[in-house]
Amino acid sequence: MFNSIIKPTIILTAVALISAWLLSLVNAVTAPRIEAQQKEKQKAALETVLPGYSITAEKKASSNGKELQYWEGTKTIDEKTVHTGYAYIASGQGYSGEIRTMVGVDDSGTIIAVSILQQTETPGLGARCQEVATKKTLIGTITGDNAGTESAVPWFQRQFAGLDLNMKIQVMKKGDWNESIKDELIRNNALSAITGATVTSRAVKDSIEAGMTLLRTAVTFAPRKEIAK
Amino acid sequence: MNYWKEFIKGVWERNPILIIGLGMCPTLAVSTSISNALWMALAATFVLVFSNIIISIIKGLVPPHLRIPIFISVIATFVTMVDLSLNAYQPEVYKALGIFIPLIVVNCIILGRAEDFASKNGVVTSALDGMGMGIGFGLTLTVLAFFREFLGANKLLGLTVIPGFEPSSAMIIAPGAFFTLGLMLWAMNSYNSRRKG
Repeated sequence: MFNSIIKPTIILTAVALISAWLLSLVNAVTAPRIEAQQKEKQKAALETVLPGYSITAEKKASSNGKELQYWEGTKTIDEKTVHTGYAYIASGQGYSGEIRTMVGVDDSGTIIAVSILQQTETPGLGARCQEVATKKTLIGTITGDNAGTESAVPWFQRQFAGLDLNMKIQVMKKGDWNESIKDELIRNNALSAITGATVTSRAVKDSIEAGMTLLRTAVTFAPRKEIAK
Repeated sequence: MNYWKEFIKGVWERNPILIIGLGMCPTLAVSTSISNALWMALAATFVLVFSNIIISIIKGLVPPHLRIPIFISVIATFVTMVDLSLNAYQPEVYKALGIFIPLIVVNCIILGRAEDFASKNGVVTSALDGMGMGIGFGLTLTVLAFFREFLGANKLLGLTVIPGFEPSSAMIIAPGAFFTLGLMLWAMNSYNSRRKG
């Protein structure tokens, strides 16, 4: 009785207690840093998706039991024109977990910029949605030719800028985004999927569209007329 | 001399991936770039060394039928430590490796070494065994990642190698990893059999 039930129970309890105690120590050290980093990330993301805007309100929109957190910001051009922009956190199921994206839209429903906050996609494939494209080469590093600064915005996220959320966003398979395919993509209101990670690309796109639908329940957008073809 | 043998066997003679054939899942998944491979190797080696040490210390106290849950608890504790520390101090790496850090818990190399070696040997040899296995795992991962990053993304350590060269995306996805691993196994086996024969 003692050897078959009580002793194993005591040993397992002891192991679990020691593990939990050690982890609580590690957690106490790391938790404030992790939290500070997440706040920083959110602040940086807000600045990325609403550049030049000052955030005036943090609100919540809800519909059909779904909730959306969004921010309102204004940007003063001159005394008469004040642009309003909105930022919201879109979230959707990717290939291997939730993808959370901060999206900035102007008052016509056009995306200003997006910033992926959190993802657990496959490294080297879906995780490339956060990869920063670089023209720096290995030879260049050795010879010291890699001068100059480059855009720090990942190419996958950069291509969302200028897409119109009043229409469906298309997904094209054009390979990595670059300046030469920019016009074609904007014309088709499309984005280029990450090679080998179409599911991730679609998930980000779908979550942005779903978030926009929720945001429309709280905010009215004035679509630009010129796009009528 | 004996210590050296316990350490070095994991690198070649008993290489965890190429000879024992363990830990294929993280091997195939994170070998897409050299930096991912190196961080993964570092994290796995840390867990391997410390779980081997703890398990060889407590091996006398563990009832045989309870060893798996206890080993897993020990391993999970170290993995969670790595997970929390990477999240706090290396957020970029944490972002890149994603789910594969928590998955070190079920990496069969670590449980395999705990079961096969640390639960039967002393503290020092177990630590050396863990370190050797970690280095063997890391080296294999890095060589694999070298070919995959170069051929699949035309990059090494995130830097473009040949400007204008169109990389083959098959190398980045799982089949490319299998091909490369297969060729590595072939090279290693033919070298070993030639040396013996």
